[in-house]
Amino acid sequence: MNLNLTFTLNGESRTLEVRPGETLLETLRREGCFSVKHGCESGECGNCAVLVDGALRPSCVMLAAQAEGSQVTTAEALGHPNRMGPIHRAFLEAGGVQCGYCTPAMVLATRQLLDENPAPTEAEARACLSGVLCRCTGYVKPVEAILRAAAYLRGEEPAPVERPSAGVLTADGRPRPTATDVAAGAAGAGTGDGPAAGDGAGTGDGVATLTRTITEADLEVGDLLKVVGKPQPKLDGPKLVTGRPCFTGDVEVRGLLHARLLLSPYAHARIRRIDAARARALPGVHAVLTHADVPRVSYTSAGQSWPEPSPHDMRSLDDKVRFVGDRVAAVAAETAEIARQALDLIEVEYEPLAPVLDLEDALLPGAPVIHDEEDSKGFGHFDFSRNIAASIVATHGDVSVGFAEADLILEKTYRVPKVQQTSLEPHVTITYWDEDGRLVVRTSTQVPFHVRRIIAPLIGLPMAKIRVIKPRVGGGFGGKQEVLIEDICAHLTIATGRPVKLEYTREEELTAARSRHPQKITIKTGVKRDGTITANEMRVIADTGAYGSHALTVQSNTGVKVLPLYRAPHLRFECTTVYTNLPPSGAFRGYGVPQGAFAMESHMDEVAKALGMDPVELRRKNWIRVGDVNPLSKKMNEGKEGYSQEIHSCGLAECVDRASAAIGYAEKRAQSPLRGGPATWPARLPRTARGAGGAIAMQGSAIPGVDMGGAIIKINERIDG
Amino acid sequence: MLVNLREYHRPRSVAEAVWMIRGGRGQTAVLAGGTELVGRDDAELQVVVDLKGLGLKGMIEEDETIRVGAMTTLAELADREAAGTFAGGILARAIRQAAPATIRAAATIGGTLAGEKGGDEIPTALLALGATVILAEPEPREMPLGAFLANRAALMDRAVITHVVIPREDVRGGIAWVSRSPGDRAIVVAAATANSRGQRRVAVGGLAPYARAVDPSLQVWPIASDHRAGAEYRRQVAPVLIRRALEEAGAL
Repeated sequence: MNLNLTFTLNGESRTLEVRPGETLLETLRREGCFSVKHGCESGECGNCAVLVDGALRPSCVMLAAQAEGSQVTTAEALGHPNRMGPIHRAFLEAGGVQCGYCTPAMVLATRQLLDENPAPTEAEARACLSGVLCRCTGYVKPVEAILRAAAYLRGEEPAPVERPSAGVLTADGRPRPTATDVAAGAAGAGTGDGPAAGDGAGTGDGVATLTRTITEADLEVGDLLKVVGKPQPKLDGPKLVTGRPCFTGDVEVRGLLHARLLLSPYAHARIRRIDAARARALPGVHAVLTHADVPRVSYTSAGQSWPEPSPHDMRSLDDKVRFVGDRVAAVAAETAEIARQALDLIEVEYEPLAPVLDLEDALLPGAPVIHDEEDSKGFGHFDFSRNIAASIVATHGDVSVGFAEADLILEKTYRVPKVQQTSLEPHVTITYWDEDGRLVVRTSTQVPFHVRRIIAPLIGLPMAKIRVIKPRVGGGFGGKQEVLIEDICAHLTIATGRPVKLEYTREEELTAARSRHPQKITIKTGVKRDGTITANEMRVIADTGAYGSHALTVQSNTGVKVLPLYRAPHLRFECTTVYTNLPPSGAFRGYGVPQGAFAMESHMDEVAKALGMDPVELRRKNWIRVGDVNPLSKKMNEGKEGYSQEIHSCGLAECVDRASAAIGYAEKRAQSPLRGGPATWPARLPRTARGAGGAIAMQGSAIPGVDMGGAIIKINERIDG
Repeated sequence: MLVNLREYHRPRSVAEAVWMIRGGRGQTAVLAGGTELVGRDDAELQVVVDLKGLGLKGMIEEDETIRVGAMTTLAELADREAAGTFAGGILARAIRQAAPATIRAAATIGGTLAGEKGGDEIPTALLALGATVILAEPEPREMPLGAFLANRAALMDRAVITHVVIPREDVRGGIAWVSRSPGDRAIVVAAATANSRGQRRVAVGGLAPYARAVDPSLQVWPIASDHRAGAEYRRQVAPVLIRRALEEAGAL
């Protein structure tokens, strides 16, 4: 039975009818306060946080009924793009807004802090963001924004935001330190103690944090350029910082149905029987789809250019499930509650199969075959009968020759576990028929064009009848470089004729989305006594989980970007990407390089230790240089022949020299008791030791011969005043 | 999602709340802050009884005790000097480790003790402080926190916590824990208080299903193991943490 709720929302008294189980988050969004974000259902991410009687608390773990008689304030009360306040201004100037999903909660947190404490220390500014999670900014610039907002509210005019620069490049390519650089050094940018040790000492004007970010060198452009080479305000900053509706779910759609997915409780099973009759009979349910209701078309969810270099091993709905969280059925209903209730009414008879739960078990003789269906199509080198989604071998020279010449050979194994992108905005899609009879897919995606092309054969529509809208995305980091839920949402709109919204819960994000590829990496390196590498071999087993999106391409990257970072006459990269009955891996920022770099850099430190050599000097002796050609780039390019990559410029030495100087690396190494030093670098906390080290990595942007971009340049009449 | 929640009640007296809990009109739960209850995916729960408006918020400082209303939020408790800073501030430090600021603004001390997901940090600190709880059955009954924790589930089926009472003693306190990361729940937590006459209280959480008082010789229980840490790790770190807490409390 519904309740009447009377409360004050953004200064206005409201009386609303609410369900007993309705959360304040639902109520606020239904009342148009789209700044209040869904990030989880447990109050842990804080993106739904609002001020209730002046205190910031999560609205997803508060019943609407609990707000009776209270004053609730959302970001909508604090302004809009034409009427921004000092907190908004500070966040924009400091660069404290990236995807913008957590920003309304941060702004409210700032408001609460500064109402009580007009002169917070850096530690207090950090503490005020406690409970509001951000996956984009790393918190440094939001903390600077809070200190800056405090200064504005005290009537001060803080200095313009300046980024400490690595220097200005002069004609001969050597940096010349700027005044900022010198000041940052003098203020102890190299102490590395972190903000917890201090009380916002910064550089003395109270708006800088102890943590400094050093950007790349500035271009010496002077007055020649007005825009290029100069900091620019973030054009969509104002709407993000004021919490305006601009994300996928921030729309009111008449007649919207809510979708939920029934997910497999088994890691590996056949669906022997599935009966949705009772679910379909539940009042308010408009469609229940099983594998019997949609055409069987194989595809990959990987958001890649055609022909996608990943196995086409998925179906929208299948008669076999391959991980806990795999799709079994889809429901569309009048409300989210009815959809949730309908899931319990779908009867499924599973035939459980033995699962593969470890990447090495996948390769054992007699291991259960995960993709035993006839209509999946592999890419490159693969062998589904042995659970191999992709395999790669690339060589330069002959490592056995190189190992024979080595004075020392070191072989070690490194493991990278399954890590997730965990964007604060979950995967969310809304599909509907528009006035031209096109299927509109409004979705939180990194790959709108791939979505359109990939779902067309799944839903039986030509691309010309599909329109994809990509609004602001609340974080992706590769997790949305995937056609994850657009197909099933579209199937439900086609089945019902109605607009349908599918939004993952946080549990579904963590179990049924994508992650980095876990890898087991063995590196075998042969070196001379003087540190020269004679041969370097990297052998990888990667776990692509139940489906192979990005199975070949991520691991190609591990090889082609990591192994050639150190020159050697003999290199070998070998990778086997296996299927397991675990949640699928996919694309995650770094795309194979983080795994390989972790292993390689750990290994180089081990080699240096074995040789009794400084790890930086070992690297310097062997790293890639101007004039070198990446010896593997032609051999590994997403399953085709690649392009020769010759290094024309390389700032590695300069970066390492400046970084070493900035942290006092040489002095700290000399103090280490491991080298007979006096151990005079004091630990800041009891029972801790401190160390100094570093790592390098090589990355690339854009895939030659594969990626393509397009741009339209339009010259307007002057419209900005 | 509380898909089947059909009744929300705000009783006007503590006695009425107790009768509602015992009333059996369907699966019933007590609602305090809601930070644990409202986040559950629970299709069984049909009735909630909200304790807001029963005057159970706020703290009364008397000569010998601090009486903390069960609906006092963790934020109010951690930030108020009387409860937050005395005895080495061990209660405030436990609260700040147990929950981030946003949850502290909503979660209550009563809800934390009444539920099974409240964590070990706060009960451990309160045990070291010698706290008691007052239950309404509906008649008020005071019991030591240790006895409450040992019978928590059965007691909460039939009673409501109205207050937590902390003795105002002249003690020094210490608290120490280990966790996987600075922001994660404590795996094992130890707290201790000691007075000038050498009398001390020591408590540890994370070894047993609920926080317990210990004597410094450390009884051995069957030790729990979960995704955060195994039993052997807990068994090894517990004496170290107990010693650190005692050192901080000036008892060693």
